[in-house]
Amino acid sequence: MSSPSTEPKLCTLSGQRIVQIHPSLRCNLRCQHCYSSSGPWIKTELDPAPVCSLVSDAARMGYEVISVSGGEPFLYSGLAQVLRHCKSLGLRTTVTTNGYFLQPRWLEPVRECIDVLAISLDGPRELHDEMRAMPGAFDRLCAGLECVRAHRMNFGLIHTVTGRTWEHMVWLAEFAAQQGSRLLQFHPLEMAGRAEQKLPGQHPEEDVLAKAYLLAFALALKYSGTMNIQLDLLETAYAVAQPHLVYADELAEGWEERSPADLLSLIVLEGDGTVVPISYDFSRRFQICNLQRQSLAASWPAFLRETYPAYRNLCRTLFQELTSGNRPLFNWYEQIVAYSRTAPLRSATPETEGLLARAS
Amino acid sequence: MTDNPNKGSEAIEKELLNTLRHSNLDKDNLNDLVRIVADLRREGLQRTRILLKGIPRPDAITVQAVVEADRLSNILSHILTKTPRLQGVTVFPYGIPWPEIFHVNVDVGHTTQPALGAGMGVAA
Repeated sequence: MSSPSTEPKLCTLSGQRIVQIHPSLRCNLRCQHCYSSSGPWIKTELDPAPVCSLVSDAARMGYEVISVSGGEPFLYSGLAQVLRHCKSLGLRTTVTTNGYFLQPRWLEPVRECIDVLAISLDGPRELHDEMRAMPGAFDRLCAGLECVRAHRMNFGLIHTVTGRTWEHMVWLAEFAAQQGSRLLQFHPLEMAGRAEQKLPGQHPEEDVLAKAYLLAFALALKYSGTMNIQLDLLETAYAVAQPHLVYADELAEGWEERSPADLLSLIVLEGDGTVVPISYDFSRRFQICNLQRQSLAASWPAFLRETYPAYRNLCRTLFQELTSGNRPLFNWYEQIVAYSRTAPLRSATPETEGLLARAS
Repeated sequence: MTDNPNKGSEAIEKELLNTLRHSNLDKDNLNDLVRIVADLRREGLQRTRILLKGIPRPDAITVQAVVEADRLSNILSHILTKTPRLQGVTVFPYGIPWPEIFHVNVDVGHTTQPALGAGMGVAA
């Protein structure tokens, strides 16, 4: 991981070209806020061969980072194979884990292939154990962090901000700094998966997002130079100034020549082999492919021709709606996923007709 | 003044947390505060502290920042013309050994908190 920035990293999108891989929803825990409803009863997982094939395609298409999540990635039987393949292609890798398997037995086979371990943390012991629905989970995590340090692995902590946990942000930062974390990422809870049933009323509304923003700002200043603080919200004014970050800008002449990763900087492989834009659970109406039927590279031209214009249209419509209101902040990922599921498919606007014509 | 300008007060974030917990600032005031901080951050006020004045009901906000000399005039221009409910700006040299750095205090108030108990918590 690069040295922590001396500037606060707030409300920006990373700009990195990332493939997020969820090879299985199998997990040893049943976390209350889990957006994918992962759990121990799930036994299916993607074969490593098509996942490696996707990685190869992605590398050729301009993607730079492979981020493996789940489910719990350390329970994925193909983890080491996929990560080794990533490193053989010169890609950066991150693995997002619940922290339960941070022991030599699990770390040693993959430590050389992981650039950053992202470890989930919900708050102090009682809160963490409650959210993880697992007594002892916090102590296990602390022991795991010691092991990660002993293995000299770069790591960051990720916290899901809810209407209840924002008050622990200062504690979380202190804990993260004490543990030697180089990154503390705050991600607002999204009401998807298990969170819908288990955490009613915990969705962070506008006031909580504002408090989280102000606290993250103060924390970013306090820890500048030692730990990056990241908050997964977008400032409205920032977005208006840089609409390309959310695909809401006009495509310039010659856009068809741009690399796939340039046209879509984040794609997600889900546990059933479907590849979607931007975020887990994005509407399948916008899917790029399913690896069980077609490779990423082979499906890209058809996606670009038939679906990408509608995707741009979706982003632009939502962007206009969000930025025309009075909100200073918004959670783009949550909003666009929800909108992808409800918005009418519109690809017959003047802009998208132009896109379609040029693409074909 | 010789403390490192990169280092904020040890307790500033805790003070802010307590204020946000107990001040009952409503959504509109919080959003205003976010806008001010976001604006100033984009203008280059990076080493910034946020203070809400008035407990339990805040009636003003102070944003303190350290600014390098070459950005000072742009930032002051922005603050003076674009900050909502600006009450005052104070600028003074940070001092030896950082002669090229200035300390800026931006006072903003009053908040638009309703006067008659709205948002003051749940009655017993």
